[in-house]
Formats: sequence, C-alpha cells, structure tokens
Amino acid sequence: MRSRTTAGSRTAALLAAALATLVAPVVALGQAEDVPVSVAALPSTTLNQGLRSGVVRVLVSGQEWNWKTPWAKQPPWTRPIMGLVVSGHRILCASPAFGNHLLVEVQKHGEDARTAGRVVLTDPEGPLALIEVDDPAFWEDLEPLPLADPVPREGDVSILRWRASGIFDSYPGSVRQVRSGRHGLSRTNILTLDVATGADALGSSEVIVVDEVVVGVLTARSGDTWSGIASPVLARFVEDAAAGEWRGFPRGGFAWQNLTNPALRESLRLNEDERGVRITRVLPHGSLAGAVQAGDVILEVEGIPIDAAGHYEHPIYGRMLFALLFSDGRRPGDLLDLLVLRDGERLEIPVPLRRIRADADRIPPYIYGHGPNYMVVGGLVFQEFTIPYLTAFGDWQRRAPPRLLIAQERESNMPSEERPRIILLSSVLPDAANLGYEGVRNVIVERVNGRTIGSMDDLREAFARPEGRFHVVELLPGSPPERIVVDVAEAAAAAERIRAAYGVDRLDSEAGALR
Amino acid sequence: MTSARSLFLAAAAAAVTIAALSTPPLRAADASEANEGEGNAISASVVHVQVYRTRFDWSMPWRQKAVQATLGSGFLIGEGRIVTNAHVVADARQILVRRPDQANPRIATVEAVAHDCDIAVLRVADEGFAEGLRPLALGELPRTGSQVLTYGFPLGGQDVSSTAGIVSRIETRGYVHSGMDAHLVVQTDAAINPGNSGGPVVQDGRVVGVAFQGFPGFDNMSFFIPIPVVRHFLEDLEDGTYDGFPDSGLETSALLSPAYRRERGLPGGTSGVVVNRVISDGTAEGVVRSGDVLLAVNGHPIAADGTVAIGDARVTYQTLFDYRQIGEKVDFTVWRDGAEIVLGATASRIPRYDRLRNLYDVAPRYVVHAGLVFMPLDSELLKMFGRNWAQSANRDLVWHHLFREAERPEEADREVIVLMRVLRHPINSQMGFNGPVGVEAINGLPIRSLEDVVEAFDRGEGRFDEIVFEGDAGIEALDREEAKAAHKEILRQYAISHDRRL
Repeated sequence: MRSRTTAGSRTAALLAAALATLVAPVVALGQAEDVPVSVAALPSTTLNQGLRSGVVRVLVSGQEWNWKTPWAKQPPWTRPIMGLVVSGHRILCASPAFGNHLLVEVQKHGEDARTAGRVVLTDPEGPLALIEVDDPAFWEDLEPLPLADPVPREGDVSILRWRASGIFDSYPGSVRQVRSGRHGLSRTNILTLDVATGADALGSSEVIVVDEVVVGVLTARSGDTWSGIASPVLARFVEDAAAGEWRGFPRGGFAWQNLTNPALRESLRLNEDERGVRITRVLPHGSLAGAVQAGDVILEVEGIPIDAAGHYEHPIYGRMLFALLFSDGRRPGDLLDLLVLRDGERLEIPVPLRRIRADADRIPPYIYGHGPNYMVVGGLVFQEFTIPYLTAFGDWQRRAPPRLLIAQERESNMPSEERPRIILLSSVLPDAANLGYEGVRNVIVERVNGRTIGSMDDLREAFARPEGRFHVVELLPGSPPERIVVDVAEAAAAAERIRAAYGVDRLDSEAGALR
Repeated sequence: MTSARSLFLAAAAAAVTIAALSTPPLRAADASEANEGEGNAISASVVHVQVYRTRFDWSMPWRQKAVQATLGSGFLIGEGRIVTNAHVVADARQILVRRPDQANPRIATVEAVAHDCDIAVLRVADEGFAEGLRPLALGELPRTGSQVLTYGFPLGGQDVSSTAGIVSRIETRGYVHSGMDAHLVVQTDAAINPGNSGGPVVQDGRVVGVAFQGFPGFDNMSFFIPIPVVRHFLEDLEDGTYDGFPDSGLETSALLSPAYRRERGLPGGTSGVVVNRVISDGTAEGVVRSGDVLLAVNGHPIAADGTVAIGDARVTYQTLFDYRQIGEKVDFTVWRDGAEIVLGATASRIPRYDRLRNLYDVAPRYVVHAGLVFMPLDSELLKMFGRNWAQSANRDLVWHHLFREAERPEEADREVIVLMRVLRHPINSQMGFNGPVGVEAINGLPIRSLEDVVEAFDRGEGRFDEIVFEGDAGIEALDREEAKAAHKEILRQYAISHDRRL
C-alpha cells in the first residue's frame, strides 16, 4: 500500500511537469527525480505500476488489397502492437498497421479481455494513429504517461511491451542518437530517437521511457539500432488532434545537392564564410513550389545557417538534417523564412508550409482506406501505378521491370495536370476476346481510343467512346506489343464470362460500393 | 513477338558461352563404326587453339587486365585458313594452333572476326602447317532428328575427341558472345563442353556447323552455329572486309488477335505481323510504315506469330535478314490501305546498335581531366554494375541504353557521356560523386561525345569549369587553373600514361 502511494504520487508529479511542457516546453528530464525510491523493496506485483497503467496492448486486424489481382484482398492479418495511453481517453500508436485495418481491440494490464476501440485519426506520414475506447470502464485504472520534451540525447532507457502471455517486459536500452528520420512509408523527416538494445523483434509501437516519462515510440529497425518517433512529435499530434486541428506534417518537397566542394561554392558566388545546399528539383505540390527554383542555394532557414552537407545546429540536439526544419514543431500554413542565393543575389523568401498528400504524387507511396483503382476491359486489367503495386514484386528494387523502376525514380512525385497518374496494363485474363495478348503485363498505357491516358477516369471515358468497332490501346513505345486491338462487341460480350471465370466481382473498382 | 533483338535480350541472361562453363564430366567419344574411316580424316583437320588474351578494364579504361589462357578448337577450310569461334580468339594477344598429329604449335593471326555471329577465320603463316591435311567442306542445314558428330578438344585430354548426337531443334536464338544478336542455332544433345568451342559439327562428311554455346547445368542441350550463318560470314568476307548482318529496322508484333486482323482490314486466310515502328537506318526505313502488316520478306510468307519456315523449322522472320548481305535487295510484301504491295529495299545495318553489344578487340574510349574519368555509355560500362545492371545501375543510364531509342526516336543516335569515376586529389576530392552519372553539359557546351568533353574543357573561360549532370545529381565545379596544374600529377599518381583514347 505504501509503495503504491509512492509510485502514484511520483507519477503525478512527473505528469504535472510534463503536461506543462506541452504548453511551455523545455523541462529537462530528471528534474523531477528527487523522490528516492528503493526498487528492491517493492513487491513485484506493483513494479512499474505507473508504466503498466500507461501502456496497453492493441490488436489490429486488417486486410491489404492484392495489387496483382486488384479486385481481391490478401489473407487477413492480426497484429499485436503497443498503445500509449494519452490524455483525453485516447491511445496513441506509431505503426503502419492502420489504414487498411478492419478491427481494433485493446487489452490492458496483461488481461485477456478485449475491448473494442475506434480509430479516430491516422497520419501515415508518422505513421501515427489515435484510438478511442467508448467503454468508460476501460479507463478506470489507466493513467496517461507524461511525454518528455526535450528528449535525452544519451543515457539509459526502458522499452515497454505487454506480451500475449500477460507479462510486462521492460527491456533495457540506451539512446544512440536523436536525428531527423523517416518511418514506415512516410516521406516526412521528423524528430527520431535511435535506441540500441539487445532485445529483438521490436518495432511494434513499443513505448520507450526514461524512468516514467515517455521519450518515444518504436517503429522499426534501422541498421543496428531501433528507431522511434520522439515524444515531442507525439505530443504535438495528440495536442492538435485533441483540439480537432491536426493538419498533417508539413514537408519541403524538393531534391538537393550538397555544396561541400569549395570550387562549386565559389562558382555559385557564395561568400567564403557562406554554406548551404543547392536545390536540384522542386516538387510542384510541395512547400517550396512557386517560391524556390531549381538552382537556388538555400543559405538559411529561419535565420539558422545550413551547412554544405545539409545540416544545421539544433539548439538541443546538435547537428541535424535540414529537412527537419520544415516539420519540426511546425504546422501546415506556418511561414518559414528562407534566405536563398539566386544568380548571385540574396533573397529572403517566406514559404508557406504545405502538407503533401500521398494521393497528390503521380505514383502514390501508399493507399489506405480503399483498394486499387482498376478496371477490366475484355480481360485486359488496367490500374494505377502505385508504390504498393511495385512492392508487390517482393524484393522490388531488384525484381520489378526496369521501365517501372525508372518511372518510379523519375516521376513518383512529379505530378502533371494532364497526366496525374501513370496507368498500367498490369495483366491479361486470357479469353477469346484478347487472343494473342495473354502474356502482356506491367506496361505503361499511353493512349486508348486516341485519347491520352493520365488517370483511370481518362481510361473510363476513353473506353466509353470507341472510335469504331474496336478499342485500340497504345502502350509506351518499346513496351511490347505496343498496340492492342480488341473488338468492342466481343469485349462487352466477354465481361460476364471473365467475371465468372476469374472470380472478378467487379470489373471496375468505381462500379458498386464495396469500398 | 517483337524483333529478334528484343527476343534475345530476354533469352541471353540464361545462357553462357561454352568457354565460361565449368568443367563438367566428359563423355567418351562414340563415333559410330560406320563413320570411323571418314571420322579419322575429319579429325586430322580439327586443330587445337590455345589463346592468350587480355581484356581492357572498363572501370579503369587505360589499363589491361592480367593475361588469361583459354582453349578452343578450330578446323581447316582452306590453305592455312582455320574457322573457329570469335569468343575463342576475342582480345587475343597470342594464338597458337596445333594439329592433332603434331606436337609443335604454330602462331596464327586473325584474318577476320565477326563478334555478331561468333565466328572468326585464322591464318597460319607457316606454309607447311596444313601439309597433308584435307580442308573440310561445308554442308547444309541438317534436318531435325538426324545424327551429327562434333569434333574438338574439350578439357580433359590432349587429343581430338568426337561425340555423336541428334539434332534436337533448329531455332533463332541469342548469341551470348555478342549479347544482342540473334541468328539461327541448332540444338543438339551431342556433348559440347568447354574447349569444344570452334570445333566442327559434321554430317555425311561435311561441316554443318560450329560448336559454340550451351546452358550450364543442361548436359544434353548444346548449340552450334549452322551453315547459313557461317556462309554469310564467309561470303561477306570475300571482298576482304567484314561488314556484318543487315538489320530489318522493324519492330513488329504478332497478329494472333482476330480483332486486330479485322481492324487492319485483312482478308481471311492471310497472315503476317503488324509493324509498330520503323527504326531509322534499318533496311525498312523509308519503305515500310508503322501500321503496315508485313506479309512476307523475300517472298517467304510470315505467319501470324512472326515465324517463317526455314528447312523443317519455324523461326522468326528476322532470320531472313541473315540470308542477305548488306547492300543486297530485300523485298517486303505488306498489307497497306486494303491492298497487298511489294516494296523493294536495300539491306542495311544500324551502326548505333554496336553500343548494345558486348565489346571485344576494342580498347575503351575515355578522357581523364583533372582526375575526372569520362566514358561513353555502352554495354561494357553498364556491366560494371553487375549482372543485374538493368535494376541496379543508375536509372537514367538504363533508360538511355534500353528505352530511349523507342521513346525518343529523334534522339536515337545521341551518345551519352558518363562521369565514371573521380580519381581523388585535393582539387576534386570535395566534389559530390555518388557513382557513375550522365553528363549534360560542361562549360555551357552540351556533351554528346568525348570530343565535346575535350573541347568543353579547352574552351572554358572564367575561374571555374562547370559540369552539369543528368537528373537530380546537380552540378559541380573545378577551379580551372588548379585543375590544369594538377592534371599531370594526377595522371602520374594513378599510373595513367595517356589522358585520353578518343
């Protein structure tokens, strides 16, 4: 009883300190650690009582679409991940498991009982998700853990996990570094904590704490360490979501080269004491679009100098990649002041920060919430070229068709108004209507019935308006067979036959409302 | 179905040259009794070919690699003339041929070599070499199912060995040595092992082919070059120079789709393939049009799957171009605007395809400037990225090599210059360089050849040499005076005797 009180009051003290940091940050860790606790004296059942009440187990069941047969789904899965109890009776997870989830259940205190949860917000650019649990009884003995801001750059941590057996694991580890990093399929650089530990099979949203303060949540392995999303990022997500104002992570949207070569700097007319990086590509839908041009040198961001290798000196964490400046502590709509060197002139350019939605990319990096956008005409299967389609090749960097890899590298994030998407003839379902084309797959479609194809809607309109008795599909030159002709009447007559023979419930993903 | 070339690109990866095979168990020679006397006469004219070669190193183009010794076979076709495989004598520095009945090898030289069909003719200067030997006569394409005998010097012994086999099939397939050409081949179950390369394949006392390649791991599947290809080579050579095979210049697709046939307005019963594109500088340029249906070449009707009958085999119609010398007449029969017409053309070769071939007997071209090594993009350069280069190499370079011709025909002839390597020195060591990358321009001059690289550095003004790369690689700069001053020192430090080979 005595020990429980001690642990509880200590948590409360920490909680108060950390909650305050959300509003007025920078309370160094360890400041509240003035209550001596003799751990050895505690009965084992109450060890880590605060931590046990702040971490829950989340069972996510879901099902991905099958990109090779886009009308079908893959075998369903159930993944146990950890959830962090946060204020407002919500649970925070850092996991790519959300998006194609179908069922979310939560378990607390190592108990078998499952309580239904609801995903109220996800952002794959974290990846982060917030879960609500409607049953008030679930919250009775749960307590949010405080979130650290800043996070420590070194020192010991514990990695927390509930096992299926009900055992609460607390693995020892140590902070390797705080850096700018990306997680899962995200393209946004966010504040990242790397943790070295002997524990294995992590990366399922395990909670990283120092004493009883959360410093991050693990997402994946990164080389010889495990990477987590640092707590300040988590706190901002929770806070904005609570206010109903989460607008996503802003991102610069550009490619750059370093200027480590003094001759190059001088030829670009940088002064001897100036550093910076040169922009080589500006994405038309990113924050820099319309403000910065390819060829510009970024000297400073918000008055902070960028070095020749693209780093800046973070006041707390030291040397960080400058992409972090576009997301760290900022929201879409914020203005970021850049100092840019263009043709020898130094320009101050305010840049309104933007979030880049995955579906704004020409080849979307991920698709959640709906299946592939496809249609089947006369057994020819057409669909959007997406990164999930590419990753369905397995070790895709080595196995995918070379022309698709080239498109991925060159055109992924370069949308165009005329051709917002690349449309593939992905495979052929052999039928009398498509005799001679059985082996065609993974080719880029240029035109159908004379119309340039830049989206599935273009394709639908083109097939709705054949120029005569034939549908004519023109592929990218060099991609055999380059031109495909099917008979309009035969294709229509084949529809039912193909649907039945290949188990295609819908020949067009837009038809019906199975999504 | 597309051109013979694309067929080959897909097929080539699986096969290797005989010379590259690991030593497999040998079969006993089993020439049949009936052939014994004749066999002895043939054996006498089969020669052992020992070659010492060195390859240039495309990753350091100024240097040659260590000497390698390889073995092959050959056979006498005339006074001191010996036929063997091009891959036996490629990059040879010294060639020694030995008669089976003599111990002393003689020095031979290459009279002509055709890397596009893997055949070479050697000449032995020593007049006494062929004394008492009967040159072998050339036969015809054998029938499938008929028996053939192979002769040669496979690893495992010093004497000529012969094995018998059946002609399993006749087809058109990629020639691994060139890496892009496809010609007729004959598949046999006769044992053809490392060392057999260049040896004759004989039927009824006449040579019907030259043993040349197989699949590692497939004991009963070897290939020889049949006589039509050998004849093409020898006839080509009659004027003293080897010109090579004509290219059709046609990209076609099979017309197995009845809908497509109706769309082209083809009457029932006709066959043929549809022309997708006509490639510049090829035989069909200016004669055949995209959208035509190609019904026949030189009067040989083409089936809807693109095959023609040659002997008792069906092979791609592109094989018909192997029966024409460059400059000879070719007739195309096409279906156009509802009528069948015959169009005359002159067989021609597309020189730019050489970039797509494996390169032999040529030294890589390069320019080194202040430690920057520039080279033209070709197959050998891409092979530096490993077997899987189509996936692992710089994507822009792969696009230029495999896709640009089709997607941007107006740029078909463009040569791409690659910054292959940076030889580190204080004047360039801080340059950003993340592996081979295409060069767009130097000092404002668009770079389309190595000569452009030289000119661009020569004509630079101002303090810096400015280099623009392809894609997201950006730009780089060198201090011109420092670069010039360091140039010779870099060459010396890195043991480069010449800063260019244009």
